[in-house]
Amino acid sequence: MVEEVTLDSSVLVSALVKEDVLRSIARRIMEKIFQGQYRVTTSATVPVEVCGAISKRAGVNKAILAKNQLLKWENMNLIAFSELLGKRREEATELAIRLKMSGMDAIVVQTAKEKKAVLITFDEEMAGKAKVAIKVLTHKDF
Amino acid sequence: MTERYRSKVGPKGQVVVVKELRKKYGIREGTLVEQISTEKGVLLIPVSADDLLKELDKVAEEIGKTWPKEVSAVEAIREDREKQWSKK
Repeated sequence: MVEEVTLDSSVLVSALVKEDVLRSIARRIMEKIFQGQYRVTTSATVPVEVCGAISKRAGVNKAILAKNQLLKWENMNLIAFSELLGKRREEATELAIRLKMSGMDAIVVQTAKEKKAVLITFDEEMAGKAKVAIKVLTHKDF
Repeated sequence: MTERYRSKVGPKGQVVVVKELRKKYGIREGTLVEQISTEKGVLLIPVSADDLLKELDKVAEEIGKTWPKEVSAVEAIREDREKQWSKK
């Protein structure tokens, strides 16, 4: 059965950096996506954040590689990006207030909540706060 | 040898791949297929998860060459998210 999931930026960056401590787990998650076991919807802010994080730390050319991968996955319908418009913005604001989380955390949680998807994040702080509102998986669950 | 099967196109353009061909090519629910337009019609080719993983590994290796070893993905994203609020 195909499972609906929302990926946090931490998982995508981990998958895109070979030496990352959690990469083997991130790779396993990506494998499930490529095999069609996971259907991914995440916030449109996630690829922006992922590419920015890579550009800052690894360089512009490396961020372009990451961007091209993300675009390819989007074109293959492996990952869908949800725009932050009207009602979603209001809901994300409510979540940020209620769960006392950072704006980006709340935006990603909102996507998972709307899509009734399981959030996958490697950030335990985010997971701890988000699990009040949605189902969350971390690296410890894989 | 060419095998031929017929199926009807649904209202949204859906076509059922017959059971024999699903089994033969490992196509199941969620499997990605590439649609290629050819002179004779549409060719469906299942996308290999292994090929996508190999491509991801190559990209990750390239990015890993210049990514600072002491910074994890979680720390990088957390740092960026916190800085948005602390920068004044």
